Amino acid sequence: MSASEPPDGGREATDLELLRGIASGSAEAFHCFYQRWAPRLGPFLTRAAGSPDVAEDLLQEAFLRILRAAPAFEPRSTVSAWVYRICANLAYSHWRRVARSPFQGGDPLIAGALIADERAENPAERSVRRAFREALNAALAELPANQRLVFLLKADRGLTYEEIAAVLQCPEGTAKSRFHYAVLRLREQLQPWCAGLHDRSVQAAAEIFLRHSQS
Amino acid sequence: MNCKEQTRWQAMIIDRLADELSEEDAVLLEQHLGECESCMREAQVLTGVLRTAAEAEEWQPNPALEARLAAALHDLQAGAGLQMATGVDPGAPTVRSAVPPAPRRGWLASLANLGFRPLPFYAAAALVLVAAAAGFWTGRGQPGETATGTHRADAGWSQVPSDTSRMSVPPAAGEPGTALLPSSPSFAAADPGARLRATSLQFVTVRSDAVDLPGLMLADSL
Repeated sequence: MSASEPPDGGREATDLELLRGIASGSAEAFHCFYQRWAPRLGPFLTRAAGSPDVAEDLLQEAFLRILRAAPAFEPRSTVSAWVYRICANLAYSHWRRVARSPFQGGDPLIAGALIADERAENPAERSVRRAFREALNAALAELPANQRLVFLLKADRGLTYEEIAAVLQCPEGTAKSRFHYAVLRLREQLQPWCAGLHDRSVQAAAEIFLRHSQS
Repeated sequence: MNCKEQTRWQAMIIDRLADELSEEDAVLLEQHLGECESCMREAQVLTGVLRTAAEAEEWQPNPALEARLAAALHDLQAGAGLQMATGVDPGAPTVRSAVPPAPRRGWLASLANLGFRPLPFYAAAALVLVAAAAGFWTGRGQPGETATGTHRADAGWSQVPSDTSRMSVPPAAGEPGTALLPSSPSFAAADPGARLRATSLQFVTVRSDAVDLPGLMLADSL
């Protein structure tokens, strides 16, 4: 049974219904919930962790926390906000651990950015896109944790300010201002790329990138 | 940006890209972008940054993960707690037991709850009993006879041969493959310290030619 398949032949189960099913030990409810949420949380945690391996550990831990806490879930917030809050806490913990670790071995976000974007057909374009993603992820790693998290929830997951506020349990205005600060800081950090980006010209970006890397 | 109100328009561009701008403000922004080249360029730059950021990170689902989690759910329902390896990250959060341990019942449990650990107590009691039984048994034996070996009057020690087929040629004392037992009262009488030594306990391995037999033996450890 897939996540999109209605459990009772009529309509698709809501997240809350699935969560209650999980709380009662339903393997089918868990399967539906996993199929629905893993593709959302996987990419988010991959970007947050900067490494697919670490992301998988975080994803596993996120689902374990969901399994454990499902019986105690109270629908004062949405399931979505609750799930993202679990992931946000995991991301915070991971960043704290990485910051403390004496064995960082380079920026994990940069390591994660080395995943090639194979969708670009042109090799030159592909390398430029990859390099830009690398620069973006490196810039993202420089952001304060609260701004980084808001940026990821917004840009990567497409949550609204209201939803982000619910996830982070902060005022909506705070979520909005954090996102603005994050975008402006990223824009500042990516200044060498921006001249090419405003032309929407890959060739221009490639030239700028080459000049930048040679200098 | 050279626009006089760049901060205001920049914020509106970000909100527009975040899909959080009201309809009225979106109309205003579009009008402004049509007139202001500087803001238009800024919008393109920010679009590029956010579009790249919004590109989904490549993520390959691990089919084994769902199976592991389903098993964890099953364990959870069975009350066994969650036991899963966390994999690559050495600093990954530790998986704690999902179900708190049920309180133990009974007088022994009440001792355990007070911090008393019964296992060492049982072990010590068993050792004392074995020592007492061995002492009784060796004290009852006739001179020159033991259940496991031959009394050597000259040394007062019996030997447990590693191979009964070689009992007639016992290995020398202390040779690997043997354990020494105090055996006779005469030895105890000759050596007042022998009884004390006899009750000092050690776990030793009685070695045979075929297999290793771990066992509790009395040995002269002094």
